[in-house]
Amino acid sequence: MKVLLLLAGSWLLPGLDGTVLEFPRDHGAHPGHKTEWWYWTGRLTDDRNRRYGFQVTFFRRALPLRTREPRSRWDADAVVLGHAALGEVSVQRFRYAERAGRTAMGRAWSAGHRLSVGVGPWQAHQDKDRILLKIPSRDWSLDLELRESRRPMIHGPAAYSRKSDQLDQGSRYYSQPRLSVKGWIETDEGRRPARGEAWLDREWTSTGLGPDGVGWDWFSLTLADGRDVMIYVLRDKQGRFLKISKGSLRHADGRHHSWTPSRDTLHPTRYWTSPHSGIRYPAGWSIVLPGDSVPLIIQPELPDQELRTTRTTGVTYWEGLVSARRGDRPAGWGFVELTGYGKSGSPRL
Amino acid sequence: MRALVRSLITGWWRQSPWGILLSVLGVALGTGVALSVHLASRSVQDAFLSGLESLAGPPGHVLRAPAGDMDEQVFLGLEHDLEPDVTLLPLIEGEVRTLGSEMADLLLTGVDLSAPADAWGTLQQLTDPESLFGEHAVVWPEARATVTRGPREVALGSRVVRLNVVGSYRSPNRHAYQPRILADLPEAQRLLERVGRIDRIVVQGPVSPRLDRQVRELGLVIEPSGSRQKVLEQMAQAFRFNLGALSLVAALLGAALTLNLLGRNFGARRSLLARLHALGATRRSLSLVLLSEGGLIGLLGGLLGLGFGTGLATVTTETIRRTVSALYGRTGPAWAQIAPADLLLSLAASVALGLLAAAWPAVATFKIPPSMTVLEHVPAPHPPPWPQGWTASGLGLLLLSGVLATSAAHGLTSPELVNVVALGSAVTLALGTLGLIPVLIRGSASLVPHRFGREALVHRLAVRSFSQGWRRHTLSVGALMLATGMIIGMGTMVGSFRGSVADWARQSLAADLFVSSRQGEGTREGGTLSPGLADRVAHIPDIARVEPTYEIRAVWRQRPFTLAGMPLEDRARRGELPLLGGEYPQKPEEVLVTEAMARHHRLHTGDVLDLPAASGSWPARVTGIVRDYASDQGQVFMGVQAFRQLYPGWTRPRSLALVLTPGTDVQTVRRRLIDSLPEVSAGLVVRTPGELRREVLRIFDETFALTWAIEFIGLAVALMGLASSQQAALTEERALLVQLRRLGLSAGGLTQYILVQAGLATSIGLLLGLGLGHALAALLVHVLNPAAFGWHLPFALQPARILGVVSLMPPVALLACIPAIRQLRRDTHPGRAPA
Repeated sequence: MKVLLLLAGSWLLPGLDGTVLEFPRDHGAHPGHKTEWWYWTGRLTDDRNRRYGFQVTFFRRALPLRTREPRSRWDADAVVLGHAALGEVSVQRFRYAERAGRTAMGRAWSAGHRLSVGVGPWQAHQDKDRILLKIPSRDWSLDLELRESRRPMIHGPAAYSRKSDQLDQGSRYYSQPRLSVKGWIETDEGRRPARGEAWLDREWTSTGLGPDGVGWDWFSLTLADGRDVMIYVLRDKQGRFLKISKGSLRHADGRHHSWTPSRDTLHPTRYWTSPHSGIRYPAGWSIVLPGDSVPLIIQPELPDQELRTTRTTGVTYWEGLVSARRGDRPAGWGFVELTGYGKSGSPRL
Repeated sequence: MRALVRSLITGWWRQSPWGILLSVLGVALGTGVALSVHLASRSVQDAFLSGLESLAGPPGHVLRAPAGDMDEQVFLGLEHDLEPDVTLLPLIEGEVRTLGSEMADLLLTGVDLSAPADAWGTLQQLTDPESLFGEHAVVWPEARATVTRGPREVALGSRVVRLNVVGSYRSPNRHAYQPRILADLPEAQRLLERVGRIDRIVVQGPVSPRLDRQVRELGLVIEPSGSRQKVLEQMAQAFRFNLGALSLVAALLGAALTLNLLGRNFGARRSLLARLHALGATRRSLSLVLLSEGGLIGLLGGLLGLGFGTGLATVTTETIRRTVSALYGRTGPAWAQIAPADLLLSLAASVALGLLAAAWPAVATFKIPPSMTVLEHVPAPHPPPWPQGWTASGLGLLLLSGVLATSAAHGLTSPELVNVVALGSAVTLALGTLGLIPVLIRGSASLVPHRFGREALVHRLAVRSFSQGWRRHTLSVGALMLATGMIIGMGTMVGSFRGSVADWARQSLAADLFVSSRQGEGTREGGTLSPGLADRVAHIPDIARVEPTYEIRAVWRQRPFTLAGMPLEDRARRGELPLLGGEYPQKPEEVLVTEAMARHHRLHTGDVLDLPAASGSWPARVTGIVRDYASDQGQVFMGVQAFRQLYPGWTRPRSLALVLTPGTDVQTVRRRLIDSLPEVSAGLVVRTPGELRREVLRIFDETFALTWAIEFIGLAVALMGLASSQQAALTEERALLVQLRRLGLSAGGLTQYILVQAGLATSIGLLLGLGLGHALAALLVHVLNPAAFGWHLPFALQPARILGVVSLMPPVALLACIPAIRQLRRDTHPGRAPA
């Protein structure tokens, strides 16, 4: 059945290469595609019981093929961009950093066949069953070791996730929830051991959003009852959900559901306006999952988790650690990403 | 009584509407001149600083090869295991000239566009980020106008290249000068035909001991960010001093003009005010009316001056900018913009001057005893005593000036300190000479021979009045003296300098033709020629010899200098390298150094320089010191063979000197060259020695255009001062002169009265100004020039200039007296009723 689906998919869905995802190969880069990202989000607790949220992202953006002569050592086939953030829940502080570099002269790299991507001193590297994340930054650093505890969660048929009504506008997409994390966090207060959980989101594509989409709300939820939830809501200019918005839910026993979220099952409950950009973001949600009658209440652990990435992508977005509650009871944790809520600034040179 | 005061005051307004208007115009003119020079100098300062900063590139430490460019491989070693808070920005750059209607020299700068550095500003108009990495893709600087995307032709080296403008960038400071076209590093390397090379690496962040060690192991030089800042500050300091002086002179002119015109206006009513005071008008009510009037005139004049000043600034800004550009290097475009603070300050200054001018006669009026108010005119107070204090201070300052000049010339070693001390000496010299003016004026009565005859009384009265009114005349004589001193001092220095440069250019340009690139002409980073050009030129008929000159910018003992490779033997034989000491090199490892290089590093013949070379340091023995005015940073001249051996990668000559077969017509060969070299359309120029010399002198003259502006303003101040002091004297002595006129004194006699005083003032001003000017010139030539530039100049008296000033000043002074003569004739006409 799966093979049939894949074959159908390769015919039905242009841009899909028809191959089954294979690991660790697909943790590595896909140079045949224009854009790709590795997106780790997670929560950590240090030895003093202080809580943190973190985000580490590497984007790979292919460059036009180089045929010009004479060749320069600086000629590159891609640019790697990195965003990293650390939210310190206990002291309500959020910091982020960004980097960019070309895949030449040792400034950045992204390897195929296995996970190895980096820009400058930032790197993510797979060593047997461990993923090593090293993010040294000016004021803070992450040095983490991640291990798989569940197999990857595939989104869409043959891991093809459509991003518009056009069949060819989509991406290959999988997530890897519940990665166990241990390592070190370094802040102004020194280097502390920390443990926690993380979520990896992987996508690669050669197309962008469709013409109707102006932004998205993305949720990853790791629930205490063993369920893993990924929801992306694509919005149009009026804030309406596009029909191709999707939700994926995997039970602890491996059963999988996907559904189309609507305003009835997912809606903001509060808003927050950034003092930095003036952009108004949703800052609390009510989500009813398939099969549930009681909504999950999602709330940011920190209000200000906005990234203004003028040095790299030029995009201003909100990405941060959230808690999930059902009534008065904690129900899990997650990450939310909100894009397209305001005008982004001009990229810096 | 208050109503009477108001009625009499306003009645006077109605009687003298022109006086009021003149006062308002005086304030407007004063405010306008001061404001315009301030605005122009500030905008040029901004343009200058932004030009320097943008040329220096992003802030941070700079890593560069000791000489020339470097292999990009060094970057790999540095980038590895770098601290997280450090970013390295590799950079390559070359001059380009835009073609078409708006020709401009810009810098094509190759940077890693994939790694933003927060250094250049923000990207604009970029539709597709990938296009940044396309073939010949560049990002154009956006100053005020929106940049047009698409193809654009530029001259690059000796080629014409079509660039593809994919977007623009805007500096954080919209008005900052951005002379750089940005391109992705590999694309810039290809465009500049220097693949594998970079010019420098900017370090953003701290340089750790480990990075410092790595840099030194790689044989690179670290220029601390502070050192570049220091160089910028030094350049800016000299530049600010010049424009600061200009602003100050203009402000003084404005204030003097305003005070004079207003003061005259109020002074003329002193007797009226004294009578009102005697009749019972209180000090408060009189002061209130006068101060209101002064404030109102100040405000009206200030408002008018704002418009006038802004307009004048718009006109003068470009002139000053060009001068500064020629004097100190590249500046950006400059626009005169008035800030709210300027607006408020100008208005406040105008109102304050108005109040001050009104307060002065008010205070003087209250001192007049009521019994004196019945006189038609209130006599001036008793003649002032001899100015012993002034004289003693002047002599003391002159002594101090001499001490400072001597220590600057002989006792000090730091050039910065020499500059400061020499400037101190110049200021004390001017102030000291100023201090001698009162005693000369006061003593003029006994110095001037007595005349006999019909007009002897007038002559004696004029001399006596001049002598006793030394307080009144000191300002105008001082202004004349300073103007003369500035014209003579600067003129003698510039004349000496120009003569030296012309002589040096005549001597050092002895080949038949010269080939060079027009790009970056006059700058230290000027354009170079393609490597194969010399061979192609050598094949053109009637060219006997092609002599290339190569230049590399290098750093030695933390100071930049130029290393030049040239056929020393040929040039020495033609006498192009005038020796100040030592002899010409005989061996490859021997070099010549310029006077500036020798002075900056205290080098002597026989010393050994460890020159930076591609393969490490290279010991070179100095055999001679040559006269050179091309670079104040210093140059080292070596033979072409040694240069090629030391810098094998540096194959692009800066210029070619061509020696023709004897008997060949230079213009024929020149035409042949222009016809056969396609690079001519891309900015290659072929010039005769005469044209090159004229070009050198043109650049020289542009450099000193600013000094003429300062002199002009100085002269204007002097003449205004003379005119105003004459009129002030008339106001004081009007009653006496009216009496004399009624007793039969002719109109010619009145004119003589004024001319005698003007002649005395001009003579004293000229006499002291000539002395001051030559002392200043000596200070500039013998102390400031060697300290600032590192070269000496022979002091050359400028008789034509002295003669010009001596013959110009009297008629100009006479011209300045015309308003006073006219007024006096009108006021003292026998038919005119007493005021």
